[in-house]
Amino acid sequence: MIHVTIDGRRLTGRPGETILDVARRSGITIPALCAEERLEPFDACGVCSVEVEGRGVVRACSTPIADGMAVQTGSPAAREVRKAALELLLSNHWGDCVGPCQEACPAHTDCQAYVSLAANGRFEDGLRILYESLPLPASFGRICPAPCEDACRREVAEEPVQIREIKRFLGDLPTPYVPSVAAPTGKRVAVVGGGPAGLSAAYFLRRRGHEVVVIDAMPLMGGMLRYGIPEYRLPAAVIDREVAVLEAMGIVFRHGVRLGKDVSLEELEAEFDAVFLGLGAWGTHPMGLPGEDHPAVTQGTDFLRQVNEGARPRLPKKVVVVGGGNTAMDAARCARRLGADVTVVYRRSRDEMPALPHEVEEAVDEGVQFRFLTQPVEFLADDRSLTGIRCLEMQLGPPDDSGRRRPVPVAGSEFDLEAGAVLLAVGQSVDAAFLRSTGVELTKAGTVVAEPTTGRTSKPNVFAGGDAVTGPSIAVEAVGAGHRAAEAIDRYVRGGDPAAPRASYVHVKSDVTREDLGNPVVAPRVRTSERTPAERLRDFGEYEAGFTAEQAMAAGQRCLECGCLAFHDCALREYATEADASQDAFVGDVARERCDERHPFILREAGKCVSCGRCVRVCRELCGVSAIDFVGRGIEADVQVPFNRAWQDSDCVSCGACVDACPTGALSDRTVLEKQVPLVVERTASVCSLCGLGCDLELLSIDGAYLGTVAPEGGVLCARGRYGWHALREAQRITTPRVRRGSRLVDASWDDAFNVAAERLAAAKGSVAVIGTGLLTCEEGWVAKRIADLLASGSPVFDVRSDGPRVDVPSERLADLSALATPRALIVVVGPRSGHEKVVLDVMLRRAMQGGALLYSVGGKVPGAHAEIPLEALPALLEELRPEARTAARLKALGVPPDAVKLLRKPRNRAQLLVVEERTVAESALDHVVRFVADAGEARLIAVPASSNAVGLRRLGFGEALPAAKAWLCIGADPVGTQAGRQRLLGVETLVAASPIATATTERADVVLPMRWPFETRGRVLGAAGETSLVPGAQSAIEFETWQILAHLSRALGNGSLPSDFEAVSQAAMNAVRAARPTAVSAGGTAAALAAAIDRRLAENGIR
Amino acid sequence: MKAVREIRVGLATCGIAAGAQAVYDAVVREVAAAELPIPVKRVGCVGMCYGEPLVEVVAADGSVNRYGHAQPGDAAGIVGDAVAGGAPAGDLAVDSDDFLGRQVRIVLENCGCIDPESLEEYRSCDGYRGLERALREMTPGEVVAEMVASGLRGRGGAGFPTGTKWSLTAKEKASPKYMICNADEGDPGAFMDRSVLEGDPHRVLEGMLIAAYAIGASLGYVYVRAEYPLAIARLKRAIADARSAGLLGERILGSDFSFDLKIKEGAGAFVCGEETALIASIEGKRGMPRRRPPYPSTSGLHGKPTCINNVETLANIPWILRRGAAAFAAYGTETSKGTKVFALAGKVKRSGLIEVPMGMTIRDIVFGIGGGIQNDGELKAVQMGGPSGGCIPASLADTPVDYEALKATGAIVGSGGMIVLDQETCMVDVARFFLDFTQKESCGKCTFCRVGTKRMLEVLERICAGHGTTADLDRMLDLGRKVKANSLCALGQTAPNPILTTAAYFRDEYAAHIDEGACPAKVCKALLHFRIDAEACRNCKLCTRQCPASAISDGDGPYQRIDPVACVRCGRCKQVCPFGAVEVTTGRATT
Repeated sequence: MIHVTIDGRRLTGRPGETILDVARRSGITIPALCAEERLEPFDACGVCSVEVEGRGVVRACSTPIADGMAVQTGSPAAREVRKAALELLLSNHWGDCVGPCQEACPAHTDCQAYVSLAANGRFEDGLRILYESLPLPASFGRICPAPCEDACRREVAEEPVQIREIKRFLGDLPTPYVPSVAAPTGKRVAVVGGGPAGLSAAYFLRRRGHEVVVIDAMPLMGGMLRYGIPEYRLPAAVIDREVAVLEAMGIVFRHGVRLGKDVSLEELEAEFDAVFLGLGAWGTHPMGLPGEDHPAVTQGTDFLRQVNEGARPRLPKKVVVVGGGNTAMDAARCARRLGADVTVVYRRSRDEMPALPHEVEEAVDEGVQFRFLTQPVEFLADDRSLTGIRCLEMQLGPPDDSGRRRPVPVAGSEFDLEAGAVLLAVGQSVDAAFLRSTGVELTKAGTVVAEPTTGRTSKPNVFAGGDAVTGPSIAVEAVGAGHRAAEAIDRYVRGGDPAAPRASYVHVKSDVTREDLGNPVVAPRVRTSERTPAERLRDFGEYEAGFTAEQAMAAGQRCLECGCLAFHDCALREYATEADASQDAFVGDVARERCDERHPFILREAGKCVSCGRCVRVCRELCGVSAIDFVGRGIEADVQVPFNRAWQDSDCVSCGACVDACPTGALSDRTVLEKQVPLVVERTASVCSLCGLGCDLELLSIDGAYLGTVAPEGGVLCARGRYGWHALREAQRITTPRVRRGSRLVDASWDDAFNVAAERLAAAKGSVAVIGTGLLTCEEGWVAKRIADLLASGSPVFDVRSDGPRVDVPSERLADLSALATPRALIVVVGPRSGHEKVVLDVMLRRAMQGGALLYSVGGKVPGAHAEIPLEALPALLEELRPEARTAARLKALGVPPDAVKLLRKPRNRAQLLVVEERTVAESALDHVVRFVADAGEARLIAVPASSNAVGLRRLGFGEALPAAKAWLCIGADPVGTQAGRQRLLGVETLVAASPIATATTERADVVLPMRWPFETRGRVLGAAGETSLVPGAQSAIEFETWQILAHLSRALGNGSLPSDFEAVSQAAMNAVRAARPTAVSAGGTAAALAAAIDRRLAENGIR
Repeated sequence: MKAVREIRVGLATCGIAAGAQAVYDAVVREVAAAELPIPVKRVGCVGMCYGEPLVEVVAADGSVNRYGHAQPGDAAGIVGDAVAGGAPAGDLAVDSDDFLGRQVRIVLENCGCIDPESLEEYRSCDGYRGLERALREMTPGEVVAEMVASGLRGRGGAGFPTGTKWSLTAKEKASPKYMICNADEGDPGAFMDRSVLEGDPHRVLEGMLIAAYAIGASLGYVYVRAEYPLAIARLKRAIADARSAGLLGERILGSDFSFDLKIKEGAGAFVCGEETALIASIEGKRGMPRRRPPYPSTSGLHGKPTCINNVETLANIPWILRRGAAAFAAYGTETSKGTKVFALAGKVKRSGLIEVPMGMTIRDIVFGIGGGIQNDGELKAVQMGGPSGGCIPASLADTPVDYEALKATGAIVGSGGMIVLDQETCMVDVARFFLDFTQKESCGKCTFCRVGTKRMLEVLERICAGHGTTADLDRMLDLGRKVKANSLCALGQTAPNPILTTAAYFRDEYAAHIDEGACPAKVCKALLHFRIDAEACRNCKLCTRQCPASAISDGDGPYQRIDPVACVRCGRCKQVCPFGAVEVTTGRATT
């Protein structure tokens, strides 16, 4: 034992272990990009630098521990080297962590996610994502100036993606989404102001489980959204609907309560744990001109509030609006709708107008007149009424502080403009002076002083955000401020430090050109129908229709998918955040590599590669494949298939182990979604049922919907297990039950299908064959057996084949191979190993060899095997391996190299482990193995069953001989698709088939029942040694789980005793399995129909 | 008629490149035509690059007449001289006394003297006597002890004591063991190993055999770059001859010692000179270094104990075994024994391949052997140790050639590149040149070398283009120290040496580039301004016609004028102007 100290902790390690090994084992995190537990140290990235007392900075991954060694993982010297390494990597990293849209959004809305989800038609998921950062999607989908669209990369190609319109579409979905609320915290927060800032703060606080009361001076919630923006842009009904969602979440609204008048801040402070001030900017600036106090000279905001409250004031013929912002446009267009001739007077030119360009255009279309470079100097009135405005002509001088050219009066240019009423829209101000006495600090301009990242004010329990802090700004800014304040308040009321945590590192591409984007096909924005200006003037209805579902999908398709698929799972980003590394510490050329999409399932972005070599080494050292390697030298060294071929054109077996090994977004899996989306996905442990190995895997899903499959941490899958379901996604799926009427199969209800099937099967009672597959779970098998019993037709059978071998020796668990393969083990692999699963089995065998086991391969090739022996020599070999008969000469004669014979003798009495994949071995060979294991005392056997639940089904009584029958009930099986099956088809009068996809059998069937994919349906399977694994199921397009379909059929056949809940069925099934003697481990079977279909699809994608 | 022993023509790659093959053919023709009984011999390189093609007439008494810059047309005269006892004159006379006379030749003992394709000649020069002594009179342990006593240090660059390396490999128990000759000479401008392999290949084989005997190796590899076809051909011939003569294979020279070797041709990656990368390359993998330990002596080729020595190191060994360790240790300094071969190049009058005793000063080499600076210029610095070496300023010219003394200056002995720089050399440009090489040759494995060298180079490029800042420079130097400290192998660990040493000794030159936009040596094109002096111009328009950028046109008077925007700063106008009217200035103020 070696004693070391890491960060002051006394630890022990074994000789040969590195600092990183010991740290990882002890739960001490040392950042490392190139180090992988399954691989030898590579010593390349430099990120795992630590300081060893007396030795300076070393690499933790490759420095062996020594007695008395004292290690500091975060010393200043170590941190400096680590940071430099990361900054060098970042200087050569070409990628975006998130899309520029999200970066540009003040509320940090995950635009790419909901745009892409919309493109995939997954609207509810899109809305859910939207609600993660924006509580008022329908409102903002109408009025947001959309900084996201200004930043959109698609602009480089032609026009930005219509992010806001998609937002509107999602916000307008007919079924409202009410976000869930965390468990009550017992904390209470008062929110002052029901505008964007206040509603945002209230929403995010409520989601965290706090009790929230919003007070607002106005009769209804919404603030400026409701009272400042006209109906035709944002209908009140939209706001009502969104406020209702917030109310449904449990937020309490108190209307008509004005802070400082109806309630004091002190009172709120006394009643609540914290207060958020979202007061808005409701004040106005006087212009200070003669005649301004005339009653016909009013504030534009007052006018808009009046109109929004439903008033339709009679206006004089000539109305003048003063100002060039959005409020001016709103006031002018409302006045037009009320029948007035409207002139907008603005002291600069059109180019300097702060109003959104489309607002100005639409005002022009609606007949609003503009007088630019015009400055009012006096309001003119006679005895009865306002008559006009005296104005000066202006010209533009040099730029002022705002960067816009300052208007300067033209001498002697005075003129009068006719006006019966004037609406002033020259800017709003914050009216918070009443707070001065409360101890909340204000600026000279009267805004509340608050920290931008938390909203903290001068009082610890009072937070603020929105226009009251920033002065008049865009609403989405206020939403962001409300969100940040809510996070800070949450930390505060829970007794923590309200300060914002360090912002996580975000990498961006700079100076992106059209070429960098791969010269995307020009796809203009999707046009929606707009009312004509004349129609618009008739009422206050919305002037533009929202997207249809098709339009939303088409608009979403235009997204260029800038954000990184590894965003939520990137070690580089994590370490860069931790080290406070900067993208620009070292500036230089970057290889602007685009995404290589040639592999059907693996996306490769070389620009994001950090040359850690994990993919290359995993491929070679773990999988034994060597499909990829570094190519080129220096900074241009790059991981490639030589000659820049596509990966699937190399020796690649598409196991995806490289993707799992990649610490960044350089390699990622495509999901089954058509448009890829970086998402936080749910991971569910499951079991692969496509072959007898029964590998553990993880299903990736959102909202229960399947996205893809990955290997669990440290595991490996084959192409079939990993990408098989993905490959099948376009296969013709059966979703509706069908019944044959005459010569045609027609859609039917489930009940009809069950009844017809039951009736016809019952008619053939006594002569029905129930044909399943080795993929069925124990529960499904058990119900199938009940059906077979009901129909008095003997045992169900596996997929049709000739009689298979039977083995009477219990097998070891396959998962224990590495434990059984001790350094003194002799592993004899019998048979060639088959198909895709060979990859996984060989990884296990290679690990055993690396662990010191001696490996003989009989009748196949295992890379690196110590001896390869022809299958015919198996009996002779086994004879020689018997303890009493070890003659070196005869082993040599069998083709065992002298070295391997010598090794065999070395540790005396090698533990013998025979590994057989039943499917690939002839019965006679299996027979020899079985007899040997039975006789040879210590020898053990791992018999890999032919299919995932062969063991379980056999114990349930599944047989192999297909009896002659008048009716077939096929459950997932495709006998008609096999020659053997077709030969037996003669005389079959009734065929009922359950299947997930169309097969020859469903074509021929009289009743077709849709069936879930195996991973979508719950159930238990038995492994080689009878160990149980649970397939947890997943969301599916098929209403019933497979066991339920069989149960329904059973009931239709008159069996009322079947339990209807899964657990009860499962218990009954497992009892039956356990009651059976564990005799047989083998089930024959051609590859199940589904596995075969997957293999075909993979082959079509170039994957062998 | 004077007694002539032989006529030698240098036919190493360097000689062939200079046209020596035609000269050799012409000499053979002349000798045949005159029906003279004089052997005409192809030999390797004697090292006098400045005199190629070189013909030597060796008299019976061993005295030599050397004809430099020989052309085929000179053959008749040379043969005539040989017969008549004449001496080279005029252009053919080449000064060799200072160049050769000051050298001590152990490694290059036979280079340029013997026919490299003749085993007999090698044996006639005491060849394989060292091996005979080792096999017949010494145990492997005694051979190792002899090597330790000699003080020989590895000549590949790192200077690790050869005897120690052998003893480490010798004490390993695993078998088989491998002996590898590292002939992956990659430094630009270095050709020591090539010359030895081309001029005296048996010497390297003998060295390997002795080493293999000492460490107990049974199989060896010569890892030689494929760009050395002549070296490979001569090596193959030597191996074949040695094998037929019982010097290679089973039971060598009747002893119990068996050894065989293979040639592995490298594809020319600089990093494959690094021993772990070299091993990976022999194993058929990409040539990438790996961490050490374990050292190859413990776990090398195919995981077995492996000893790797460089060509020059091995070429010393037969001499040491023949003459004894003490004779070898008599040369050199306290810590650096024996001699070192250098490729002397740059702005020196006599460039070539030289071998000097360790401890000779740089000044003695440059001025004594090299004859001083070309055009009687002034020595500015000597760049030593190849692309990963450093620049030693003229003020430190009295530094002796010794591992420790050179290391103290920031440079290294390295494999033996020695480039003499004069005042017309821009030190920033020199640093840029070498860093450009190393960053391109980085294998790309470790972050600091792969990205760090590139980022440093980009700063140097900015400085050379007049866009650098002092902050940039300081950040680069800081990065350089980090690259040095944190790179995985010697390539990265030494790559910053050129910039660190030039910045230490010539900081003012960097400052001139950055602060004044000036290249004092007038090398960095972006910082140069070409202008025609109206007074001096005779309006001959020679420059105008020669200008490749059409940047020169009529001025306001009877003179030509250069458009500074169109000018590409090629310097052609200055070259062709008969009146010296083209002025070159540098710095921002003069634009």
